[in-house]
Amino acid sequence: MNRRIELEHAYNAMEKAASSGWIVSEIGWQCLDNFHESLRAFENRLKLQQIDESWHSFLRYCRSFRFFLVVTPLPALEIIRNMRGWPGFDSLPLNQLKEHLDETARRLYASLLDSFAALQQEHDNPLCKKAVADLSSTELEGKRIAVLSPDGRLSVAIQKYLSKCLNHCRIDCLRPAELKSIDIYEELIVFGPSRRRFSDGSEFIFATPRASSLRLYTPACFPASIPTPYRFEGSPHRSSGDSGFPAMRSFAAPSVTKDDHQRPITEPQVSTCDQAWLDSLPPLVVPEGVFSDNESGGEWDSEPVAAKQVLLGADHAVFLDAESSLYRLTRERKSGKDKWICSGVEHTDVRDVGPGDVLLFQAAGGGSMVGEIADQLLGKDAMNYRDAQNLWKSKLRLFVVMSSSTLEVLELMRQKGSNIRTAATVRNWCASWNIGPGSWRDFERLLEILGLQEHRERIFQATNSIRAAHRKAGFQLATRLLEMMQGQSLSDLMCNGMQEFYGADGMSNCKIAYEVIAIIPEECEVLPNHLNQPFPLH
Amino acid sequence: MSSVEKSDWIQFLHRLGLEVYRLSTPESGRLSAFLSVPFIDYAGVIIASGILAAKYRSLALPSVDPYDWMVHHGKPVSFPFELRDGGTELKRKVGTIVGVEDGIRGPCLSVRYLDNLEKKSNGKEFTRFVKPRWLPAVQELEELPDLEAWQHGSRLASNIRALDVVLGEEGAAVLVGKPHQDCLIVDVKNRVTEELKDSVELNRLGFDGAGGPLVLADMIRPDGWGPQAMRETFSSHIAPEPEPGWEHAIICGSLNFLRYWDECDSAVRIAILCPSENAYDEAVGFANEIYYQRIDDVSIPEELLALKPSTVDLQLIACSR
Repeated sequence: MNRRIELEHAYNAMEKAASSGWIVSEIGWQCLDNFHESLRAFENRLKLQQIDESWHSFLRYCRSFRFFLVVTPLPALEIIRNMRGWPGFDSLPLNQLKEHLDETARRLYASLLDSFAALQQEHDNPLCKKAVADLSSTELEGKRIAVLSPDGRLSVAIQKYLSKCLNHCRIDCLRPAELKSIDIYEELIVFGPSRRRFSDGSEFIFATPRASSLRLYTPACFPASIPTPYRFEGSPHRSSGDSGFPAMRSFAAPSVTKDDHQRPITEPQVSTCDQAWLDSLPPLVVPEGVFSDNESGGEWDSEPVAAKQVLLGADHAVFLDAESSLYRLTRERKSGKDKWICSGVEHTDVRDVGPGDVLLFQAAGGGSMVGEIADQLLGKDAMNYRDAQNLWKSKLRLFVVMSSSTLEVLELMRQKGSNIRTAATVRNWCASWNIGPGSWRDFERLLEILGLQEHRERIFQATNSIRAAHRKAGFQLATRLLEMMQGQSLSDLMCNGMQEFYGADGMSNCKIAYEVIAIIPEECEVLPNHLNQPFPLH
Repeated sequence: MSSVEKSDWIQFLHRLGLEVYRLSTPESGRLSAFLSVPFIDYAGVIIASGILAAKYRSLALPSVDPYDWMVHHGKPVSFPFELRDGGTELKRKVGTIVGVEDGIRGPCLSVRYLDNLEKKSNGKEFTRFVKPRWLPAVQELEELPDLEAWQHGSRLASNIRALDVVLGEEGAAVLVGKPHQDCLIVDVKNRVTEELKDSVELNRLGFDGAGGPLVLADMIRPDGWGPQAMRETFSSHIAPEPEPGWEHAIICGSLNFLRYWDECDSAVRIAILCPSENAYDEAVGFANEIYYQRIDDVSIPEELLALKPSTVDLQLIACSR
């Protein structure tokens, strides 16, 4: 077939997919939850006993088993059968290893084996069962269905297994890279949470999926999060405008159904339409500023400070300033059910933080949304303020272009007594996302270099107002997110030791909650910009 | 009408080329467009067709007096030659000037040439009036080439009717009349030249369908490719890396964008990225870096946005780098 004709077909199929978005099914799976929690508890115990190294192979086997159970349609027994011959997964000296376990660890180990055995009793993988039920109800006679395979070694098994379940369709078991071709399928099926696709470079299957219909099946304990496909900053395609045409975002707005055939899950409904909230924000009143401050340059202080070391869930850690405070999430058990929900967020001193607490950290800011809200808060003055900001920014950019380098500005700033250290600071000033120099004195020097002294008052007032509006917008977004967190299920946190909370539709801010595992008694010294930034332990 | 039927990626890409040409003015700074498409194929050539359409539609044909050619009486020339049997092909033939005669629409240049049409008489000489619209494209030759070898002519355009619809009769005559340096396409030459052999129905470009399909090569006309007459009247260039002297540059592929964006000195640059490319993330990061250093925003026309397929992302800015 002519390649362009194939392209026509591909574009049309993707338009269909874009208008319906991803159909995500989050499926309650009690046996998997039990196995997942048992494994996590056992891992933590081994770490505490500091013998997790010797159990490495066993833990790796369990994690791989869990992984394949979640990301393939195969039932547990089928996965075990396939993994049997794989190198590194045979002849584990469990009896010798067990001798080193303490009483608690033995109990957790027994519980893990029980849950493992329970999974083997299940004849079907609930994810596959749901997929087969969905697909059987659609007209797919002879149609091509693509199923993503996480590992080439399982492709044949997956294809064989699914072909038996869906004998009227043609199943292609593909690695993500194979979906880069122009081939278009009637259905694209992904098993397991989407998050792992973000890091392995196959995010494109969510941005430009090669099928007319897109389905994702994942256990409720690993919820899906479809990435937003468009990536150009400031791109005007966040909404369809008046064209009535579906925006790209529709790929990222999946319709999620929660299958509760094994365990009821009732998530609180979060409104995805926050326009009303945005519209209700009161206008901002910014007082006349006094534009004087210390010499700071707005750069990070490079002197190390004393910090507490805190071990977090999900194999993360964080450095905290012992004299500071942060947000702690409070939780409560939903009445009559084995389920935790977020009951609120409170401010707490770092010195009061202890094991079992759930701490909240900033994962992503509001992005360009902050600017939009800030302009709304500034009301009719926003245009004037932005004009004033553009005046000095465009002059600075021109200056940089004419001198072919930001170094000349840096040099001139230093000659005028500024402490700014690198040309990166000047580059940041040129960027639109930057409001202005952090120090008024530096700002004054910059305006002198640009020959804009006579506009000083106007520009300073504009910068002051924009900065206040951005601060307020960020605060509003954060407050809104904290409000939305109330009543949300903490199943992810309870299973994984961490959970992400996203802003509503159109807002990119995100907070991430970690359970505190332990606090290391010894303090250490870190750079200030490393504080409050959770990082993985390996 | 459903949104699925409404979207047309070809019309969108062609329109994007038109709008980019329209929006690039000397005052606007260096216009830069970043485009993310699900497939890189055809995107570059269709955008180029839009740019060329915008340019040539607005061009008027230079006025040429056929009597000016009388001083070259008996001299060899090459000239555009339309078939009279309703065919759509435009050829370049060679012949000798035999005079100027009064036609119905005024004086016409008369040229004697050799033809091989069997249904007439094989290899016999004929005389033809050169239409006024083709007069600017008549070229004087140093010496008369081998007429036997030239009796088939050399193809200038596969479907001049479609070019007339897209560019207007005068614009089409200017395009095929002489070489132009309009559009540089930085891409894989083999793939692009394969794409150029394809044709697009005119209604896919937003025109009335009469006129038949537009052969992409008729419009894009890359130098060094195709029949001799097309090579001599090129409008574009396909190259693996940027070259100086081209007003518009279309850089296809994330890697090309990362390597060559800064090296490209064209006044208008369009980068086409595809999410399935390995370097896509890095390329988007680079595009966003350029976005933050823009000197101005460029507002994208609503009509263009209305045509945009859901899988396509677009950013237009004016920048200095």
